[in-house]
Amino acid sequence: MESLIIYIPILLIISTLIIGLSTDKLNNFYSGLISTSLVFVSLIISLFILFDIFSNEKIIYYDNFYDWISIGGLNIGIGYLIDKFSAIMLVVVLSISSVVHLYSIDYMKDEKDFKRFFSYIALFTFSMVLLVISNNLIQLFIGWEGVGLVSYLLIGFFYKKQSAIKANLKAFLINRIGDMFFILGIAMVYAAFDSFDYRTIFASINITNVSALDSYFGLDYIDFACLFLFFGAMAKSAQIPLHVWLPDSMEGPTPISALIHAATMVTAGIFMVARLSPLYELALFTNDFILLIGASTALFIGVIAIFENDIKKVIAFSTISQLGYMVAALGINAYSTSFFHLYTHAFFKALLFLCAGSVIMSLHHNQDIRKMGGLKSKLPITYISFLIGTLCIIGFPFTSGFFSKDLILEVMLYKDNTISCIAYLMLLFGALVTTIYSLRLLFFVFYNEYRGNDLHNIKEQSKIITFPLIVLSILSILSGYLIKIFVELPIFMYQAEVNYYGDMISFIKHGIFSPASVALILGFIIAKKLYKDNIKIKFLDSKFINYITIVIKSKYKFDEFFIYISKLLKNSSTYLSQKLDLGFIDISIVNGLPKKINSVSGLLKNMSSGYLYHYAFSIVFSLVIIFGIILMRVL
Amino acid sequence: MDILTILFYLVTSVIIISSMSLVIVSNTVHAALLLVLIFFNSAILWLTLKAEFLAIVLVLVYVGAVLVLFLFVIMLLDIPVKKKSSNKLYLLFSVITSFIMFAELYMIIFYHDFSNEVTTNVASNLNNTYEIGYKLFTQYIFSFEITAFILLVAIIAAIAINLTQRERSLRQDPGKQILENKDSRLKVIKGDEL
Amino acid sequence: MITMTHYLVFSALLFCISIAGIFINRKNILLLLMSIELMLLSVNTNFIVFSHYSSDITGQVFVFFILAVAAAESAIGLAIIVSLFRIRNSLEINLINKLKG
Repeated sequence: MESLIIYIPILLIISTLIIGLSTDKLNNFYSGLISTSLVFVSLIISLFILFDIFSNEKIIYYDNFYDWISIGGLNIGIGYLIDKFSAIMLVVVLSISSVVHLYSIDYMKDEKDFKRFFSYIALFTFSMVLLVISNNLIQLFIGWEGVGLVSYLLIGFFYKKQSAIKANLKAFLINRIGDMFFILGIAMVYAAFDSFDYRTIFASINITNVSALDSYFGLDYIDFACLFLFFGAMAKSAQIPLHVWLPDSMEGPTPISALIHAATMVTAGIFMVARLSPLYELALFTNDFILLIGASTALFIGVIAIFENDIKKVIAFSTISQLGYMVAALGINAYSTSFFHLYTHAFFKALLFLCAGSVIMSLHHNQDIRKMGGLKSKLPITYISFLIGTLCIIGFPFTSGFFSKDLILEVMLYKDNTISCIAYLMLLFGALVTTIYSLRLLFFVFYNEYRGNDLHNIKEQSKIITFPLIVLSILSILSGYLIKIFVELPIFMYQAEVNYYGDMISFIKHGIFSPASVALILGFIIAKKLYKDNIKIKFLDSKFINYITIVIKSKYKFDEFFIYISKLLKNSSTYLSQKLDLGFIDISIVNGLPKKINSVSGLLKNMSSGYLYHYAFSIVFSLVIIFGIILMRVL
Repeated sequence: MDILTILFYLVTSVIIISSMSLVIVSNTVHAALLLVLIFFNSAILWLTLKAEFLAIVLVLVYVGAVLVLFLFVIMLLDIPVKKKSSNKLYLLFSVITSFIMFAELYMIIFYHDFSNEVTTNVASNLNNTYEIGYKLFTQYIFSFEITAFILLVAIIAAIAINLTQRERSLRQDPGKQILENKDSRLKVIKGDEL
Repeated sequence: MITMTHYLVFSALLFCISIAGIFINRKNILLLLMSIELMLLSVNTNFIVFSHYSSDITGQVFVFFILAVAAAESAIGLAIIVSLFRIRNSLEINLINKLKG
């Protein structure tokens, strides 16, 4: 069973190459089918591996089948490391990917660049698999960059659209900021433990005296390394302040938003932190930092979603907010809890995006929710799927979101300090906000009267579109019931945190009577009043609330902040190029040196007068001096 | 004071005086003739050193060939004799430099003290020419061949440098004649172009 | 009694006179060439003196070679002078500074 692992990336790269390099003889539908079936085969393999891993206790598949770089003490291999954690991740990635592949066959059928699209998503899945199965930091980094690259290519898939090109450049540049820190973090880990391999690193944590390592700015070495690695995760998983690329990335096709920008790629940061959890266990300051970043992302970005009118952007903001929950759980060292939310979120967020795609298709590429409404009867399957997705995300009891979100909130209370209390309150308030914006979206799109035109043209999409929705709906509801596996999940041989879960029934009971339910009910009431029944509340028209609304609608001016920074950099580099490069280096060195050489050689030139007797004289004169030197030595 | 000593001083004084005047005279013909005198006296000096073959070669080759060539060139070119208008500074410099040089050489010679070197005077039963010939054609045969080659090159070079075509030659060039056509020989100029 | 020193001093004197000749005769390239011949003569004399006093014929063999090369040199030198005179109609070397950089 173990030997099957390497066939997963091989199948995916074959799919990429076949679709990407084929001529027009392979028509669009069949190329989509080939790609989808290859991904599906990979999914089946990964399922086999998953069952294999879970049937044997404490088993880890590990192999380093290729020595890629071997210089002196530096060894970089290509291999795999599959434990329960990465096996689940693999299944999640591949199942979402195969569903999205299937969905895209119909969604993209009218595109001219259909095959390019399929080639890209196969390459994306390949990179993600490489990242997930990797057994060392360098392979992780290759996968990391691979998904970043494909994300760039797919955001700019409609390359003739100005906004798409700007959005993909933005995503790429923001990710470069994170990647720079990520490389630094990897280098620091290598410098401390002398290896890129996970097993070697984690084994030497116990041997190496970590506190004896250098500390910078009052932070421990490990703290610093983990902080840098987390900066990388911040860019990839869209945390404040590096989240700005994710809303713009909705310029890409909707299946991509589902696959890359909601379910899998953005969770790479979460995955990486969880993977390196033995290191993060030691980084106390970084954990608090992660916690605060996660909690504030969850709350503040969620608030933006309430005022957003683009259907995809609302879901994008909710993605960032949900990622904030996962990151917050990482900050409290509850890696398996975070991973559980990652896993449930992957399904219901992919579902929401695919539903949004279905809606957008039915409405002929209208994305503005103010022009939607009353689609409940027109698109019944989409409506039900969307409803299920919404219930999951708001944490309605007995859905998957209920389990994972409650668990995260519970974990917050587990640690008894001020920061986690603040984070708990932020996340609780975040849950309220989540309820409001999710229900607002639901009400705007599916309830009340239709506000656009061409109502009679709207009809449900084909079975290829609706089938993935049904599959994902079922997965979204049922995935939460595997909670027992997750709370007992050891992340890389480390035993999970203390079990506060008990059994299913008591957990559900506890969850229903928790403050989160209050937030849920409150949110439901607010959303229903405001967006379904359209009741005007005087309080909301007051000056103060207006002011806050303006601040939120400007998305806290993060974009402007980055533009300001880049302008500052541009101005300073312009100044430097004017003063230092043109003013100093060019004048005094580049042009100055030849001028000096010219003047010196002009002096020297005068010495060679061209008269024969001058040369003869210099010969004789030197002869005299040489004789003199000889005489001095002998006398 | 034996005869050799008298001969040495006589010959060297002639050489020194005539070389000094060679340096000073402005007439090139006089200079060449002084050089002939110097070479003859040098040949006598070399004879006292028992270098009979080289003494004869010096007279035959140098005086007979090289200096005659000098005279040929001088008379061929017919250079007008100009009065020397030497720069005093240059004269001073040259005299001082050569004087310092001589002082240094003199010091080197006396530092080594060659006066005690006495010729071993091995009574050789072979004559000087035979000995040189023997060395030349055994040990230095390749150098000898190269010398011959250098002389050949010198002959060819001397000819090649001075072999120039006469300019206003009346010789016909058939190739050029064939290539000529009407356009290249005849040009019609219109009145307004003038 | 004439010792080796006498000969050496004589040739040193001859050498220095010819060096002075090079500087004094800046105008006439022919005289310059003659001064060089004079230098070679002093060098040859030295060779013969050492050859005689060390009873080694090799020195005289070298003089033979030097004479041959000097003959070649003066032949080419005179050829150059002739063609130079043809071009410039003058032998005043203080007017020739084509070597000027």
